[in-house]
Amino acid sequence: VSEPATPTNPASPATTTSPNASSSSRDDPRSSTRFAHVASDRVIAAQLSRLLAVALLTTCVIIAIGLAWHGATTGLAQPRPDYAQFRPNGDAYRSLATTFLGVAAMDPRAVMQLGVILLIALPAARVLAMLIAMLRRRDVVYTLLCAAVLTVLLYGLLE
Amino acid sequence: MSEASFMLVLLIAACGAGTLGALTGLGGGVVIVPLLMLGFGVDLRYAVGASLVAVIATSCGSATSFLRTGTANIRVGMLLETATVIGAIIGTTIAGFISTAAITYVFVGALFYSAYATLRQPAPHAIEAAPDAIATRLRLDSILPGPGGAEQPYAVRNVPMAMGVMGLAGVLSALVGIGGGILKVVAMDRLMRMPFKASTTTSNLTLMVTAGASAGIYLHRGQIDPRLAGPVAIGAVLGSLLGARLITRLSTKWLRRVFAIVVVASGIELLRRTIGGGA
Repeated sequence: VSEPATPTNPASPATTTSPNASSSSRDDPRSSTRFAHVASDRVIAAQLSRLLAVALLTTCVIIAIGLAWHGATTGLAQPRPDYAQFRPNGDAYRSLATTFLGVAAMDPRAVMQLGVILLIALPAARVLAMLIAMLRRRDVVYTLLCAAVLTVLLYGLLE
Repeated sequence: MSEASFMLVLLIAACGAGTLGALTGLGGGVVIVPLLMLGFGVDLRYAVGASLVAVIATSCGSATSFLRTGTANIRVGMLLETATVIGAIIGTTIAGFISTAAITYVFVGALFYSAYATLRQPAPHAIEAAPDAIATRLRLDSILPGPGGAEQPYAVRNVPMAMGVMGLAGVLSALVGIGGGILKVVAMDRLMRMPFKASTTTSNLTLMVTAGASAGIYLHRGQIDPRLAGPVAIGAVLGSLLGARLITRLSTKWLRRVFAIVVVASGIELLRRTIGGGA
């Protein structure tokens, strides 16, 4: 089961490369320094959009493979687990490292969890991409803000 | 029921939740937690974990389209994310030592507020043009692209207050597994006075980072079971894509009313079970 990553947005046409194509002539706000960053920000946003689309499709495909595999093998043989009592996952599904070991051992549940963990790491990838973009533009304030958010996200991920 | 068919049913149900979330603009989170708890008898801690994964997935899916069109304000998003991630870390810490009953009460409160906010659409406000000192310094002012090249420049206000509300939204999101989108729209639409389209899309952008901060911690606590989170994430993404297609064809006014009733009813049922000591 795979799904289209191409986003559907009927309301707005894709204006990927030409954020400044149109102009209203009366005292154009874009000539003001207050809005000087907007054109460059739209380029960054378009890059982030492509990154998220590719990454989301990849993680969903990994999850779908694990799901189909688990469902077709052990999933058919055993009854549904009881989730009414909370029993934390075993160590095998709690971190990226142990999950990788499970994938190497051909455990379909670990394949699913790998996709889920990559999905959880996606926001951090987006912040890292924005950090690099801001660094290239020598925007000190936003480089630092991105670094701060990334630090907290990595703390949560790696702990 | 075999585990395979359980996962299939879960995927279809999450698809429905994702469609509803996209159609009402609230995201799947508000529906997924009660769906898992009431529909499938899943413990709150598993439900919160799976819901956060679904929030990340659906938020990524919709972010791709409005980042491409330049509707979301990436600077406002990044600034507010500093507040929401700190809130999220505080929220996951609190969740570690309070009872699930207490978390359920907070969740039910959030459900009731969601229903109220869904029915009471905020009146559109005038777009500010005069610059604000902090916003100018942080280069938060931007231009909203419109149909046919009609662009709307806007100024942003009340940055410190909005940061405070966003911190609170982060705590709430981490505690109960929802996106906290309603509080975020309050911060951006009401306080920062951003245009409606810019505030809703920027809110969606911050959802994924807020959910990402707490989902990482819940993963280490063993609250993210792949057999729940996997089908729920896939279903929610498919549902949100379907919702985005349907939204132009359906009357969202009636949908919002139905949604509000479902949300209030599940809130009452959750309260009944928690007070009765059942779930």
